[in-house]
Amino acid sequence: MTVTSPVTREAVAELVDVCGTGRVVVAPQGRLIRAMVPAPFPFHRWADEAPEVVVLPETTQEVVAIVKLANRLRIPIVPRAGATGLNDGAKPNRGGIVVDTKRMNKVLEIDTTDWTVTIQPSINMLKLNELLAPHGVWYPDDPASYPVSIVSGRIGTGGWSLLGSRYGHVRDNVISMELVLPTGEVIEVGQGGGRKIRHSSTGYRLKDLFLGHQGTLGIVTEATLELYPRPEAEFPAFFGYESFDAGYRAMQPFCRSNLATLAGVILFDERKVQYLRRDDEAYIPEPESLQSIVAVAAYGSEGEVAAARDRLMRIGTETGGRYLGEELSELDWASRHDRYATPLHGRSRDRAVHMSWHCEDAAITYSQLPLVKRRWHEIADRYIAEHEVFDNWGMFFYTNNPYKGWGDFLVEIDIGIWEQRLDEHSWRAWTQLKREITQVSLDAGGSISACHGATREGEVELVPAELGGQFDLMLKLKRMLDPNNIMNPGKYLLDQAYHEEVG
Amino acid sequence: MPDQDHGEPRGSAPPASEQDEQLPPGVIDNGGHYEVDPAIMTIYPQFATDFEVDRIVKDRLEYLYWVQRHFADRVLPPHG
Amino acid sequence: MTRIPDVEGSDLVPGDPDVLSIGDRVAAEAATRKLAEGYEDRAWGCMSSRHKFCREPCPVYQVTRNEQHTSYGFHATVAAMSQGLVDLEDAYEQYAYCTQCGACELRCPNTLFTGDFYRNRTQLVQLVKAVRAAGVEAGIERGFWKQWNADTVAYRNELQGDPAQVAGWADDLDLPRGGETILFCDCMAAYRQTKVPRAVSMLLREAGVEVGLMNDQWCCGGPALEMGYVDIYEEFARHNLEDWRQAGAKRVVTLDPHDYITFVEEYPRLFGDYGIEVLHITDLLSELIEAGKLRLERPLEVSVTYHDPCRLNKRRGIWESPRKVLRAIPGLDFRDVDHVTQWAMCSGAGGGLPVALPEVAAKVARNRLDAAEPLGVDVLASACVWAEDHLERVASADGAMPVVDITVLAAMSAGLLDADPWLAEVRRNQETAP
Repeated sequence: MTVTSPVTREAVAELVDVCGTGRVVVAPQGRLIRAMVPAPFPFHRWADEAPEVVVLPETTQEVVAIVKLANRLRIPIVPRAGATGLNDGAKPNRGGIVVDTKRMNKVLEIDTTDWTVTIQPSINMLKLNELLAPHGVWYPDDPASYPVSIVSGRIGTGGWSLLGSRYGHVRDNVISMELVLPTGEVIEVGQGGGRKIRHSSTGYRLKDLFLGHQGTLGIVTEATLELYPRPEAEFPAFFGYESFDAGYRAMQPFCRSNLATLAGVILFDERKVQYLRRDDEAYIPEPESLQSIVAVAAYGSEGEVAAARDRLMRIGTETGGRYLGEELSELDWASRHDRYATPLHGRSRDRAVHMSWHCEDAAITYSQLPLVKRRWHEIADRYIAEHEVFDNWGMFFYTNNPYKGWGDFLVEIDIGIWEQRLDEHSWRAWTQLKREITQVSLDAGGSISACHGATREGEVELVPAELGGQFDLMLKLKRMLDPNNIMNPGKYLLDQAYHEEVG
Repeated sequence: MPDQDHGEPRGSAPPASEQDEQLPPGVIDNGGHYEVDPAIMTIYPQFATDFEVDRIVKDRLEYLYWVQRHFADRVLPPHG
Repeated sequence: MTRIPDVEGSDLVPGDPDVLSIGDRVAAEAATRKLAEGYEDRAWGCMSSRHKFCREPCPVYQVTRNEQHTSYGFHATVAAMSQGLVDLEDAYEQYAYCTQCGACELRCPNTLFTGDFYRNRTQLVQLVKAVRAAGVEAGIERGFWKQWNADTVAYRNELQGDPAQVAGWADDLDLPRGGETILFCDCMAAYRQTKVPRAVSMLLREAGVEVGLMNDQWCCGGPALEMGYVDIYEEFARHNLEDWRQAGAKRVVTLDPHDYITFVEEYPRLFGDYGIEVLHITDLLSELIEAGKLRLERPLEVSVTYHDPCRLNKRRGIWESPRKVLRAIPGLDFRDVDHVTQWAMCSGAGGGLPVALPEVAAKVARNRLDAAEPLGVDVLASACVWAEDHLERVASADGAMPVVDITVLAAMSAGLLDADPWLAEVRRNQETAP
């Protein structure tokens, strides 16, 4: 079992040597704010969760120095980019040093011939795309957190994009990266060794290891990304159905349409529609008969999107859907980033209260969606009946398969949590709720997480059950790359790698 | 990009459909603008003024048009 | 009060090096508690989301890339105070990192998407003012603002200008004192950017709008309030209102957004409805042009882009009237950047930032100038003398484009100011620009 040490005076002095006093933070408020991410947080024991010191490096060399120091002094380090992820990747489990990489946000090269952009990776995608727009290109990674999330965090979490059926997800669009490994070595990973090569068969495919590692295998310091032409046209359409079953069945022809410009298909269940009726002026006047929605969006050249539009409108009609109108379709689609985490949507015993949003995100095949839906709601409603701090905000089902609309889906149940009233008892109930939900995903042959990660208490205990032999391999790799267990320790049960002789 | 004229603001709520005279629970119609029923805001206060409410409605619409322009040159209508 | 323990070696990392001096350290427990109680619910309203959409639009965060310098950073600290984990003494400096531009509270989805529905929205500007005021009240304010505001009291203006000369800019303009419409001139305009009030006076006279000056104009008091000096603000506000009453004012016209927002937002909080209409010059000019009472006929053949002042655009939604004024000027090649994109922009001049953190404020200005540069324009225009003054100073350090107020452009186009010297200066700048 590895031993981690507290941050010492010596360590702080060394960090100041590396980054200067302006970029080493010991102020309590600077540490407290970096204890959390948007995933539900035990505010009742906030002080216990804070890191001991925060450092803001600007270069790869500074990151190397910090990582080497951490190894030598056995101090845990946790890389933190946007901290807008919905799992606990950036949450320090053992105090230590938070390496806040957001000052590493420079664009290093825009290559308009081979269509890549190379960046220090802690830049926000919206900002990046504003810089790329004059060149007629963009980097098409579009999560709900698009206005604020950061490329290096997207790499760490292996993120999913709302436009994945058209443009792929994060692991499809990161061509290569420079990483500082947990022991301080700097390596470049990609498809083979060419920084701008998209597909190669030279050597092993190691890049994937570092897409979704939740900061446990290193810190990315540079990335070369795929570029696409800026879309000439967009077409969003929302169709209403009179039952979830009707919406679920209608989804299939949309998903199987195989339209090249189709970016995503999203199914809203009846609880989600009910939730939207709480405040969304687009849904408030909609009749009670509207119980489910299928939303689609297409992007690309104008001719292609126009053809896709005609086909999608026809599918809507043929499946018995009611087109909800241009205004609702356009504006609700444009609201897609902003419609998630708004606190006052929370309802506790008929009162409007500030709730934080937790999104449980499994990957489930189409055939299993109704079963998972039924069982998840049953679980959530049972806990809500007993605890006033929880609320059920309904479910979404999104296309998950990169470049294709069929197969598996990101299934999401949105649970509101009144964190201001959380205590240890309700926190325990929360983790129990999660465990039940997670078990359902595994029983349905799915994956615990489609995109957020599975590091949290309540789900992480079931990761070995899901991964089987892959988990054993994870342990071996972790031990090999991080012999002193200093890189984001305590995540993914990876401490087990150090319990006995492994590998 | 320069500011564009989007014509009359469409942000205000359209009238409820004939089938559904009743608003969802917890919602009131405040002169054509949907708002939370104050009866359920028993824990957290309400304090935004009419000026702020009007501004938010306008700003939201302007922001949504901005999002459209950010992602694509044109949004196609449902029928060609 | 329990605090989060200091980490070993925390004395190796001093407070912000830009802080000039540190006031006496007085126990601030009572101030912390009062602040936390008053703002706890609001802090939770923010902390419940943690989506952090306020971050990228924040002009100060864009410079420091430090999460503490964001709306959620400021709210988190108040939440921590409410749990007894942080003292006001620890936190006070953090709240210097804000120009009160309003980008965050506008962009926050809790405002932009549901603030109207719930009539409950994010209010970061009020929070920052409250924390700063609590620091002043507890006597733990830092030196950087204390001296500034003491000087403002001594001189009755922020420029340390001779108070007897506050209307000196108007000496040869024959403007009356008092009347139904008072022109409020602003300290920066009165003492340094004097072209602006002169242009405004001439334009209004040309359009047949009679305005008079105050008997004794003092600073509006807004900046004092922004920095936390409530008593100073109230003294100034009472004086100004009394002066307007003595003048028989029914209407006050402002030419700077900092005064405008103080009169329309803060004075009513202090006095209630004080029965005087406040009108901003860009709205007034735009109306006069539309009504045909002001004709802008002299072409100005320059290319220009417009910087939206924060207290007009973000804080009050005034972005159309300045653009109407610019579009009325013939020959102008106006390369606009839309007002929503400009939610993420700021000159860096507001909220006392240049006083507390001059290097940060300069970098904010530099970012604004850099954003304008790719447009390839001759001139950056705005409608805020404080922004213009600050941008000008930062721009002149490296020969970047000249900055001008839109009222000056309008006055030149109306033939009221001689445009030739200015045009010649612009041409000279084009030749020497990097």
